[in-house]
Amino acid sequence: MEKDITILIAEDDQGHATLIEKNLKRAGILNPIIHFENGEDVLNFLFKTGETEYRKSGVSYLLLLDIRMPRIDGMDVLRIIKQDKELVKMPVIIITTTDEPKEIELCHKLGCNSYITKPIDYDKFVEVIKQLGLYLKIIQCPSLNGVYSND
Amino acid sequence: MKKRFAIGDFSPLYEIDVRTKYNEIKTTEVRTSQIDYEGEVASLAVITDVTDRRRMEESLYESQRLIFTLMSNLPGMAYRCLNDNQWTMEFVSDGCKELTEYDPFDIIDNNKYSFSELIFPEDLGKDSDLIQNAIKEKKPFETIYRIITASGKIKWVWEKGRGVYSNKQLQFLEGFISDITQVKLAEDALKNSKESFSIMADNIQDGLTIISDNKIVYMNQRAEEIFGISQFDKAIFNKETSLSKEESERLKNIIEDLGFQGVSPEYLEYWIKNTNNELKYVRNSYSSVELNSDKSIHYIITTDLTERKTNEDELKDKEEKLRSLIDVAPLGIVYADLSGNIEYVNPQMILLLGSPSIEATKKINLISFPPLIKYGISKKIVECINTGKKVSYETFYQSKWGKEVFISLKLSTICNFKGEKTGVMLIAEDVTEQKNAEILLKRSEQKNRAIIDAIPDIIFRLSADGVFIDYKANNPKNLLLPPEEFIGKSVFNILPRKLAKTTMLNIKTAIQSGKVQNFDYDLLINNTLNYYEVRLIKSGEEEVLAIIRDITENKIAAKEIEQLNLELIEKNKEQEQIIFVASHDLRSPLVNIQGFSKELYKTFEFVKSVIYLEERTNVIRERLSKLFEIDIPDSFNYIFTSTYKMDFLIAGLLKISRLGKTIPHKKETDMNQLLQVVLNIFEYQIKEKNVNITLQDLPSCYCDEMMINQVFSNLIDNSIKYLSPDRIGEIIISGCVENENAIYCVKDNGIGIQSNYYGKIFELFHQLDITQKGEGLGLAIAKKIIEKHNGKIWLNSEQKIGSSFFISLPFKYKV
Repeated sequence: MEKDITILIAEDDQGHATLIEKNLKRAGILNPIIHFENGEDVLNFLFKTGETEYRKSGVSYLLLLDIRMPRIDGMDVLRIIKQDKELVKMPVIIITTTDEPKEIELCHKLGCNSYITKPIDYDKFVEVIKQLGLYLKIIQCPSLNGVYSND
Repeated sequence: MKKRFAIGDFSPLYEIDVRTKYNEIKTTEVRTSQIDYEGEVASLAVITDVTDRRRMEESLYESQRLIFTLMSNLPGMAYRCLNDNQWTMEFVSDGCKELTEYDPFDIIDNNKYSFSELIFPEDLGKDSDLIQNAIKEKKPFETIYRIITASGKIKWVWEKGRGVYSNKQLQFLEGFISDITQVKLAEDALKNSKESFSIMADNIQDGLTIISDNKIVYMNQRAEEIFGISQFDKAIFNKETSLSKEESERLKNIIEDLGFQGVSPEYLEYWIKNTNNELKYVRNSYSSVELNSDKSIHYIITTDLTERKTNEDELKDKEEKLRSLIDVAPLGIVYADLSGNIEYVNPQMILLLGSPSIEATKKINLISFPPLIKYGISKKIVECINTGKKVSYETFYQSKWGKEVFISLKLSTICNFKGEKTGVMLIAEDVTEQKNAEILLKRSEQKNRAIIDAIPDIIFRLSADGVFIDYKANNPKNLLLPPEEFIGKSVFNILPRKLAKTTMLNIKTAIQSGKVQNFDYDLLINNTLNYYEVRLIKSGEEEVLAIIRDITENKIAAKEIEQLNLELIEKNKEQEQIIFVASHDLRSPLVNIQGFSKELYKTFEFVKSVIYLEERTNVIRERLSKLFEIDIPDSFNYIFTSTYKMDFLIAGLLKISRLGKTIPHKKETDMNQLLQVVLNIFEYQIKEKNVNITLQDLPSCYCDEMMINQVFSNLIDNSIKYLSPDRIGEIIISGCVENENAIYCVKDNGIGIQSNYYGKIFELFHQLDITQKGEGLGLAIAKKIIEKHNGKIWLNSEQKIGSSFFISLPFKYKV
């Protein structure tokens, strides 16, 4: 995985986020990780709105997105991202506790790159994250031009 | 006789009959007297034979007595009169009184009337020439004339008289007049009778022949016609020539047949071939009058019965045919007279009754036979006889001989040609098999009827043009109109136009296609909508049966089912949500618990290895301090938080579940009061956050107070929770009534909600802002409660401006 790729984690559960981060590190993914606690924050970052940190132009991003989140949920975040000319290039991996087939189908329709269910079994969880690490290692992640259409 | 008298006495004369020595009886007159004979008193008797004298005297006396008696008793009047114009009577007998009704003294010597005055004026002097001539010639005369009696009666009298002469001179006339009125009338009657006899004889319908001395002495026209005798033949008869051979032969036969010799009228009927070669059937009635010992007159009255005989024969022939028909007919036939005595019974009747014989059956009297009375047949027979009308009757009958049958009876009276009832005819048909079939049919019909009766539907018979013909309803109350108001009327007059049109359309289709047509309709009855299902079935070329079923209850049930279905869908949705929550919300903390437990374990393994391999305490502390200070407490923290979260989620689920089971106790609730209570709970927060609360006047509603309290608490809690930090919070609570619903609104000027989350916010555990404390249950519970009240909850919101939550609840109690 290219070193300059920044991993964005949108996850309302701090515990989950910690576990993902820890295990990615264990799997050898040492890329920078930015954690967002809700959908609104991640969108603000990506669309350079709001008062917090913005994404940087010319940097490649990858989004690990949870679905159940306050304010704006993962599904809406995915929809909004995929409607944007520039952000549509960014790989989005859904990582959620729901294995509801309807949800999975909807995510794929909206254009998610991958869908990962969080298992309760920690070993399995670790395994899933390891595989995610492998996936991230081979994934082609285009850099975003940094020019937001509304900019 | 011996008697002594004194001298000088004369004894009276007396007569004695003496018998002579010749044995002759002689009458003698005896005279005796006392004389002095030689001094002695002696009797002298003179006996004179007076036999002849006495005989003469007696005969004269006799003759005089006879005349007198005759004159007194003759039915007539003896007279002596002068030959003058008045016929002056010198003497009339007592008969005058009877004949003329005048007293003889009135007429004698023309005392009051002269005899001529008594004579009927027309007859006066009628035979005077005849009388005068007879007088001249001293001959008796006879005359007949009329007199008028004292009472004015006209009498025919016959007078016979003659002149009485002295010295050849006519002294006077003597004679006798007698009443001949009766004779005269009899004569006239005889004359008339003779005339009318010939008129009658010539005009009677029957022939009349009079035979005397073996010859035809008279034959009327009709007899000539019957016997075919021409005028020529008659002329022969008149010449007393003998009859034709045939006729004389036949006449001989007739006379032979008259052997009864006029004792009493008798008759004979036979065929003849008359002189015109026509076959005739005649009936001769004979009567004879014996004139003297060897001479009789025979009267023969001949009636032509050819036509009658022919008819009779035909009738007999027909009767014969009829009789044979009756004999073989499969119907029992009985004739009886008016008193019920059987005159005829045919063989089939015998079979029908199981009777041993015709004779046995004939002993039955139709009116008094007990079994006939028992089964009401006698009554019907009497009715038929009395009314003369045909009577039909059907009954079970057990005959005298044990046969059990169902018979159908036809009764009619028999009349003669005058139309008088002479008897009664009974025709019986054995309908046992038919009846059994009928009984079976009836039973089956009854069964069908029972089935029909059990059908709760109303059935109408409708003609092809939509006219109500008939109906069938178990309870006429189910009919919306009394039958007389719709029978015979068109659907267009009875039903609402739209329904009438639909009905007509379906009737047409049903009749054309022969297929059952179904349709539903609804009617507003007493402000309640009733639903009906109709099935139209073609029941004839020109009619249909409409089976109407009230499906209102079904519809209501269907609606209830629909409602239940909706509720069930809602429940399912809840269920799904719970499952979703279980799979996601509950999983999240579990992931943490598992994950951080494993992290702890890994830490523990690491700590163990460090402690076992490293003896230097400072190194151990250095290597483990980060773990002890950060990682391990973090892990514990996550685990504890997650268990709390799970507990919280499970508590929430229980809360919702419990709410689902609670039945709201609805009542009229004063909402102003209720909201006041709610706001009191939030008093502290309101003061702390400095919120402006406006409570407007609210309509009351029909609800469970506790539950609605909860709803408003949750809404107001949310409003306060999500107020915008940029401005002073304002919450307005208002209400109104719309369409029998009370509508309440909780409006705030808070952060607002994106429209695509309007649905989501009512979901379980959905939280808009994780930073705000809450269960994520408030709106889910509110929605659940409102739905339990058959109400609605919805919102209107604009981000950063504020939200309005609306609640609609029933304003009044609904049945």
